[in-house]
Amino acid sequence: MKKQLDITSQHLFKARRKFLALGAASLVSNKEVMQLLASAKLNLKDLHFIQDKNLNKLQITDFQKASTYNNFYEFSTSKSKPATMAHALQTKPWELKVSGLVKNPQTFHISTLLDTMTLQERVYRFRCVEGWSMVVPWIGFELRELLAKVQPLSSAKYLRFTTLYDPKQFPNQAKNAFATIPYPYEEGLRLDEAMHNLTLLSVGMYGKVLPNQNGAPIRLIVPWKYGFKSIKSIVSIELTKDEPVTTWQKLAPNEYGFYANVNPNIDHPRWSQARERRLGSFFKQDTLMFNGYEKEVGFLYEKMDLEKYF
Amino acid sequence: MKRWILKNIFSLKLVLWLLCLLPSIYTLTKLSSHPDPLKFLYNMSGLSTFWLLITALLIPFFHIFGLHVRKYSKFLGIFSFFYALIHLLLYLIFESNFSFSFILKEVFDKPFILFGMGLFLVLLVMTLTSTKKLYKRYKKLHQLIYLGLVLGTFHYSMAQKVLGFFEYLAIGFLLLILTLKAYSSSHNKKSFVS
Repeated sequence: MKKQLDITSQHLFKARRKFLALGAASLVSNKEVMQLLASAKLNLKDLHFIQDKNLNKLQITDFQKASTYNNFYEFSTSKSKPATMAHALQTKPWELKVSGLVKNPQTFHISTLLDTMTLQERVYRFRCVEGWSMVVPWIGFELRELLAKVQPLSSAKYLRFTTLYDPKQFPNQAKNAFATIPYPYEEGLRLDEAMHNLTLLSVGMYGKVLPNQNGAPIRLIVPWKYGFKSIKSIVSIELTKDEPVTTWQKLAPNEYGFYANVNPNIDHPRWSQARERRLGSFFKQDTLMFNGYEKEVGFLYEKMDLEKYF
Repeated sequence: MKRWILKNIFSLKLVLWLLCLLPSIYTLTKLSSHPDPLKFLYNMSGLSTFWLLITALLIPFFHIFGLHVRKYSKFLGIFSFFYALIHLLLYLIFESNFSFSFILKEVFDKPFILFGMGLFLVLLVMTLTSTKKLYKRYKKLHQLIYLGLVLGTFHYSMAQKVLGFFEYLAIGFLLLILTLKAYSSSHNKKSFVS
């Protein structure tokens, strides 16, 4: 009698195993489930694109992190708030005006661009000047493809990008004197930087259109420069003869230069740039020259004093 | 009556304990889901240090409203030191790998790190001399805390990419405390805040 009690019957043993497995699975998959829920709640449209093979085997940051940790000062200077506020941004219809020193100035509707451009995925490192970084599978097209349509004149040397100015949609733009930075947000590139095949106009990420907080419907991605160069929600690209003054240059010219190339050897005046933290990680890793794209873009700056042109 | 007061003082102390531990509890519950956990730990420990110190330096003036609560200053100050210690430990573990030469280089290279270290040293000295006996002996030394607060405010503001509402609020509180302190010192030789 006693012996029998000691032996667990087969079906109970199996049931226990299944129960434990379920428990373990729920622990592991909780994060994935949360992410699925997070992206499902945003209801983002799927995109058709040529997939990036990710030959460098970069470890892609979770969608959840990349879409809830955003510097989007037009909404808030807090990094978590844009994700809760950005749904109010009206991204359809949206027009992108390309003007200035071009033969054929045009205004593009975002829906037309989505239909006519061949979209490609690009898995890029993204390094913020504040010392954190991530790896994001962006989707978009090369900026030079758009420039080919407008045909820059030989006098065009630079590009000025402008974010939408609409205080009704961007609460911080309505704060006037209490706005943290001057608006509209402006960024710039040299024409040869803009023509480089790594420079992307992004309309999506993680297989879907951009979440508003990540700069929908169209943003710039320049992977070898600090994140603030990759201007969000662009309404205008103007080709110019002179170097445009960027928003951060206006604010603190000694801290933020026009180029803002990722460079571990040149510190921000207040903090070191030698290392960075991948989102989710406690430990730092070394920051790479030009954010790991030195082979591709190094020639653009060959004879330049990077201490001076930071 | 006496018993009633004793009981209430006890419960006020309990409220203070909870208040001071609240940032820790909040941080621990949010940590695993935060995209940048280390930055979050830095922010939370730093903000707790700063605002507990502000509170500790402000409550002696509450006597203006008939609230005699200055004896809790010490308690809040020591908790401020506790969060500063966590803040510094994060830096030592995750930033410097305990490399003395790295810390030395950073301290002299980056003023905001120097300022932060300055406030930590002041808080450390004050905590060590906070016993009744030692406090009597080093009472004058405790005036250093106002310098510490100035350093702390610079450290906090300079760590941000750009000054926002909360940094201006911090600077506002710093000015308020310095003004109150200057006023009370000039009006009362036997300064009621020491």
